[in-house]
Amino acid sequence: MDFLYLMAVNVGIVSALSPLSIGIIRKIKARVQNRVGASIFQPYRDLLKLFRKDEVVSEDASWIFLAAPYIVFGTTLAIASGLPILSPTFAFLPMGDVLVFAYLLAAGAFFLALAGVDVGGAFGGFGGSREMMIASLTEGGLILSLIAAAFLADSTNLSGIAIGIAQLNGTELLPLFIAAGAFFISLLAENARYPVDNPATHLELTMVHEAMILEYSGARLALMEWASANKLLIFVAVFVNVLLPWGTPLFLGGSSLAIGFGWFALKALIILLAIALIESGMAKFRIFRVPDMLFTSLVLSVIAILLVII
Amino acid sequence: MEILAQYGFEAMMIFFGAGAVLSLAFASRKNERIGSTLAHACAALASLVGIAFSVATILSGTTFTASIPGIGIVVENWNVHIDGLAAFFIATISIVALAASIYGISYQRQFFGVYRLGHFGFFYNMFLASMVLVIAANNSILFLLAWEVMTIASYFLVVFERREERNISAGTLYILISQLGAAFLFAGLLLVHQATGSWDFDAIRMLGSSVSPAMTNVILALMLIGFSTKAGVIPLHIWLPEAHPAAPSHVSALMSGVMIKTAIFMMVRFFIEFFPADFSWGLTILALGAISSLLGVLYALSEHDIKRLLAFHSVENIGIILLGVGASVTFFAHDLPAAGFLALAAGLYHTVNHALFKSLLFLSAGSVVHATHTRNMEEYGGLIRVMPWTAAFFLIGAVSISGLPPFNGFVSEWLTFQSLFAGIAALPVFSKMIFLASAASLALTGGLAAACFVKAFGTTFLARSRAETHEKVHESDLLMRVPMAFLALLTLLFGVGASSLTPLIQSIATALKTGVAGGMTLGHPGNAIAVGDFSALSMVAVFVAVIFGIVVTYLLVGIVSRNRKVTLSRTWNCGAPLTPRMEITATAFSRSIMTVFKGLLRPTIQRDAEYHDAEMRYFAKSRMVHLSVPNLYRTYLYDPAASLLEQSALRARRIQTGNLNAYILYIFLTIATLVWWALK
Repeated sequence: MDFLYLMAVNVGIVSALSPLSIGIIRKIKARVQNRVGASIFQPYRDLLKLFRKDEVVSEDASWIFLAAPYIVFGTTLAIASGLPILSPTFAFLPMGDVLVFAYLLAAGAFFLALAGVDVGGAFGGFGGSREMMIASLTEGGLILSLIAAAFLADSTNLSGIAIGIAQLNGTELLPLFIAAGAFFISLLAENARYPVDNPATHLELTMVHEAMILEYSGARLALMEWASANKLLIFVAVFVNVLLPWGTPLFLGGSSLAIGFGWFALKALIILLAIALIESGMAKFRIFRVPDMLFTSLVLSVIAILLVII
Repeated sequence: MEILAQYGFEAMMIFFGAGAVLSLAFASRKNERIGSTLAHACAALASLVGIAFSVATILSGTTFTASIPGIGIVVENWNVHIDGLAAFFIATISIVALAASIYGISYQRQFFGVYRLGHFGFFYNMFLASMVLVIAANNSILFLLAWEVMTIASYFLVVFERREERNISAGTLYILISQLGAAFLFAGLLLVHQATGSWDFDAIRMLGSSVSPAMTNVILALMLIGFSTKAGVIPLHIWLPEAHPAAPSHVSALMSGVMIKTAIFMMVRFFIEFFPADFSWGLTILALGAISSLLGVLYALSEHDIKRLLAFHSVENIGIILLGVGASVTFFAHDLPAAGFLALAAGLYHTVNHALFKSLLFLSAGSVVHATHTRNMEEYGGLIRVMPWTAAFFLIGAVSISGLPPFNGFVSEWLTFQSLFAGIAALPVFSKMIFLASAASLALTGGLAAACFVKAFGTTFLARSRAETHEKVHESDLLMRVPMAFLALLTLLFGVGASSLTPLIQSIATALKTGVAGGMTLGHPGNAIAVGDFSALSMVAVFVAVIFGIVVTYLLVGIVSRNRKVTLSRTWNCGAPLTPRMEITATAFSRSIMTVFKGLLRPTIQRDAEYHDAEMRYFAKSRMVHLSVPNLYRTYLYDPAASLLEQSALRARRIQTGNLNAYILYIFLTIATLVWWALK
């Protein structure tokens, strides 16, 4: 039953470090914009403040609105438990199946969008509509990019994929990089980052994520914010430890724990830097150009799979 | 065990017969309350018996055959053959029929004194009995007879509310297209008789592989068209979104949930069990499945009639089932039986799953329609406050049909994905491409279905009511809620209990072909369903992890935020007064997705405006925007075909001159041709 400890550690790492990753992105963006920026620990203070605040709930909201933060946050914990964060030492982790990963994400989006519709304002409804448009079009690229890696590694478990890919080299890796590109597009889209959505504001016409959670306050807002931070770190973890698993120790024991964590932190930092730089140097797309980008992700994944299987 | 099956089957038929007869006996206006209740109660009893004996047959792995002495015109005996596959479908029909029948007792009360309930009860029982007979029939004649009774009985259920004009036209379309499909089946089964010399399905089982490939292909082509018509495969689906919503809701549940599955059952028989189908048939079915699933969900997104929306989702889910069946046919043709059984099990699993969640959705949509007297989703809103149970059941159905874990839809979509992956890995290049395209289509379909059900649930149950007339809206009574609860519980059980159910379903599949094992095993921690070393899924682990995550979150937040106040207040609306018009509508919700797919859907927009001053068109008094998705199949396929038929009929009429001499010439020519043909 050792894998249960590993799953608990995964959940702990993701939920403890996800606010930090948001803080890091904000700090880098601030520095690029010639601002000092808030401390990288600011998101923790924000969450703590929100958990202590009183809450205002819309009269029109039903139990869906009240329960959604717990469901959304709970699913991110469930997803986190199956990731190979320190090491893919168990080639099979019960929660690590690619399709479980993708469909649990969809479940989170489903309840998030419902909560947006529930309050009956114009913001929440349109946020929900756009969220579901983006989520439904992202799903193809997300699943198939991971499946391309799965065919390379001959396993659909995230840990198994990491082990299989770590043993490849040379030209075998070309389809992997294409798939990684496709996955990165899904990462940006699923996490409401540029060029799909603006994570910093809800007062813009193409807002998606922030519009859905507009009516939340207090502890439930904290959960929603924290869940989206979790989701970002989960995507980053899959990107660096499943699709680019180099450096991550394949087996756990003694010092490899620290090595595994060190590599994860280093690689995650590079990706966070990349996201921050993209956000600083790029304008947001018009909403109906986003599907083009998402279909690009789907087509890239299909090309990657074709390169693997033919 | 066979005794049980025999008595069970006979008892089931007797109960259905009793229901039909009693319903007619109590058909008068005075007695119709008793008659309606008796009809539905008999159907429910029959379904209970059906569940008992079919589950026993599946578990024991036996096959039950019986001969009913026939009238001896075409065949001596009408044979009945219930093997694992048939028992599986009878179990599915019985589960849905049980829920629908109990629900119907209460649902039909709204029609007392309005429509003829005696006739309804008669056709209702006939419809259920004929579905079971279609599954059990072991020769062509009995099959065709049951098939026709099924069509005709369901036609009368569709036109039950006969004063609504659109129901009549929906029924006419339904029966026309069904008979067109049945014509292909008649032709196909006549050819089968010619090729094997027997009406008996046992003979086809034995001789199917010795029929010449050319003949096999002709038969399979006819069967594919005939059964696709009943299953609602695009482009033969146009009757389905008209007819299913027209019937009373529990009949819609039966038609969408199980009637269209009888076609799937027969496809499995013909393409996998009876005839060795070429791999190109597998790819054809796969392509049809991919097209149906993707287009089906897109059409569903463009709907704002709640029952039509659900009907289009049946087209989508039939597509997903066909992905499994088509993959299976391809694998068997390429001699990959392990993958073939995996794919077949995926198709069968999705068949029962779709039956469960679709009937759950139709029943809960029915209780909304029952309470609000409209099917237009734009007039709903906020119903979760007045109908909390119905809302919860609809939500469970919505989560299942969207394929979200830990409910059952996810398991069968997972299995379907695995079969497609197996094909992508193992088949020749061309087949790989088709399988890959199907996998991409399935991935898109899953996401779009989730979007569609956020729209359906959100606009129906959430936010504020959009109509002023909803004060009278009430929750459904217990007789309607219990069947929904039963189906909702089953959707969860069929999800979490996947590891117990998949071996059973796979054993049903492997029994169709002898001597090979299936592609699925149980292994890994959490009693996971494993497909080789490639994939494994433990639904118990998923369920526990999700529940654990939610409960832990709830408890921890409860501790951290225990002293915080929660106050109720108005939704912030930028300072403007908040009215129901601020809410998103069903049409607006799916508008963005429809814009993305406008190349496929070709939506039309028509704008009208009325101005205060016709000369100075700055201030509009009112504006109207008409959005619609045209029926492309009618415009480009059915209407041209119909006008072609009409014109050739007009041409053919010219030979009827009314001139006696001409007729004598025709007779002479006919006799001459016949004599020449006889002497040749």
